Amino acid sequence: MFDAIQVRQDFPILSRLVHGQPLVYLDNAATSQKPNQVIDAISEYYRQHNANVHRGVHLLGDESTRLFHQSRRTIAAFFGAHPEELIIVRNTTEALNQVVYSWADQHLAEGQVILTTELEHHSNLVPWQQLALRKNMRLLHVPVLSDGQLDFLAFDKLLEDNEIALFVCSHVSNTLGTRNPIQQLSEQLKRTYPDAKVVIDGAQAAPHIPVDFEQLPVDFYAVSAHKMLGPMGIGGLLVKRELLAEFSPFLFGGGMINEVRLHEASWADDIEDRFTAGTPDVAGLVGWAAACEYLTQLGMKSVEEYDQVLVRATVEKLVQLPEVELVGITQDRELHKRVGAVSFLYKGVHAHDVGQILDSEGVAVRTGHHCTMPLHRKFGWPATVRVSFQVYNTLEEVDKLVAALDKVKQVFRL
Amino acid sequence: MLDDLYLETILEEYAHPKNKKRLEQFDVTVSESNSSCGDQIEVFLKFDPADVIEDVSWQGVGCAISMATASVLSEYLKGKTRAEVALLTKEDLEAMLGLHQIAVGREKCLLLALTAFRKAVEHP
Repeated sequence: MFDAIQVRQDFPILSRLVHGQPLVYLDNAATSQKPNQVIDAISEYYRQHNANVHRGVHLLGDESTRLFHQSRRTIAAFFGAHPEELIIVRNTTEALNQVVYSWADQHLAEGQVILTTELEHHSNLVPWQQLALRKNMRLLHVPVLSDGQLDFLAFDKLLEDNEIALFVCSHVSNTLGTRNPIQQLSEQLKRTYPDAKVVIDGAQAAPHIPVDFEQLPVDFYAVSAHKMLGPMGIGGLLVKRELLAEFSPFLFGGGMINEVRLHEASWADDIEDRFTAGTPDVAGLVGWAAACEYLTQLGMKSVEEYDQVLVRATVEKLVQLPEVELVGITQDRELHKRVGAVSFLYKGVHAHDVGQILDSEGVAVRTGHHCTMPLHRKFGWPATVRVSFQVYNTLEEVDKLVAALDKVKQVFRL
Repeated sequence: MLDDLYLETILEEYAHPKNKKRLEQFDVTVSESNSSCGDQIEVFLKFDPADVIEDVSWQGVGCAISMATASVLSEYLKGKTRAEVALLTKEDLEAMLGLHQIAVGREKCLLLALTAFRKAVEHP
């Protein structure tokens, strides 16, 4: 396994002070920090190679185009996908909306059933609500149990009672950290309904666990660069090759066309071009590729193992605090199903106040509903505090979190 | 920084909020929420025949800032006219609570109750 102390040296922001204290950054599920390798790759692109891609017969244009394609290949390979299976978007939200507009709109019909879950991020719920409303489809939800896991018996029953056309699920829950068994669920679904398609929100899985798109029995997989050490504003939608032919562009304009006449146009044969309308964020893509290389160097298996170390230590420590009520998986034998995040309520103090007091001690966490309002409403949580990890967090930082939580007690005189 | 925010008055109002109940008789009620942090409030107003606020109450869940503000504001509003409520500003709230200047990230917390009460007085 890698040495997190060594890793920290690559992240310049980790050496700054917050309110006079060393920064303990535990808000990685919102966005991760970036290593020098990523920052430098972006900077180098603008300093040395900046030019528009696929245009102009000049050296910089060639270099930029080459970097663009090379980066695409690196990112696709990171996810075990073919380069043409990677559609470049701004973020996971846009990727999921792209499935709606480029595929679901044309291939799903009135009365059909979309199955999702109660623990989805709003970005993997609201687009499907809108689609269901627009096309008069039925939207059903796999319930979440109080232990933070999906209700698999209910899933069986939902499959038995309804002909599912589309299953939409997050790989890892952003609030609970629950790793959903997407492989088994997708296999079961496709055994029952061979034509059904599967959309996976991989935003919180991609930073922490190996993802092999070719091996997964899913059709669409959405990710964001910024949660996996890459820059903000770039992400990807992975689409299985056999579906690309029936996937339609939904952004039209330059770069994605074959031939344009005054009243009609045809689309580029090259799949990569067809879904890249307008000037792409080449620097962002270059930065994302650098992030993939960085994670590959650490080894995603090691990244996954180290995340478990942090998750387990945090759960074990927080479980001992009487004022803390953990949500999601806490049982030791189930903890391997928890990835990246630990969320909790603090008795007598609202999450927002807890977050503010932690901040005064240099500890950055996220508070609120984390874009999972239905999940919070179901369990009656007004808001939760979420602690989330990356490769540069340490066990010492977990101790600092626990110490900072003690200050909440002091301020509120509990 | 922290001491400027979690003032004695705020912690006291949060621990022992005033008028935190549902009025048995009211003329108008408005619900308001701050979706980014999960704060929710429901306010109740009763007007006298001269259209002056006769009684005020509220209930909700939220952080110390939003709940303390609701408590202080609910006391202040008794005997005020609709026009007086409409004129209240963020600075007025800061003064009521003894805050120097609320952090940008907590502005919505400070304003939640006022937003609800403003909507309530706009109600005919």
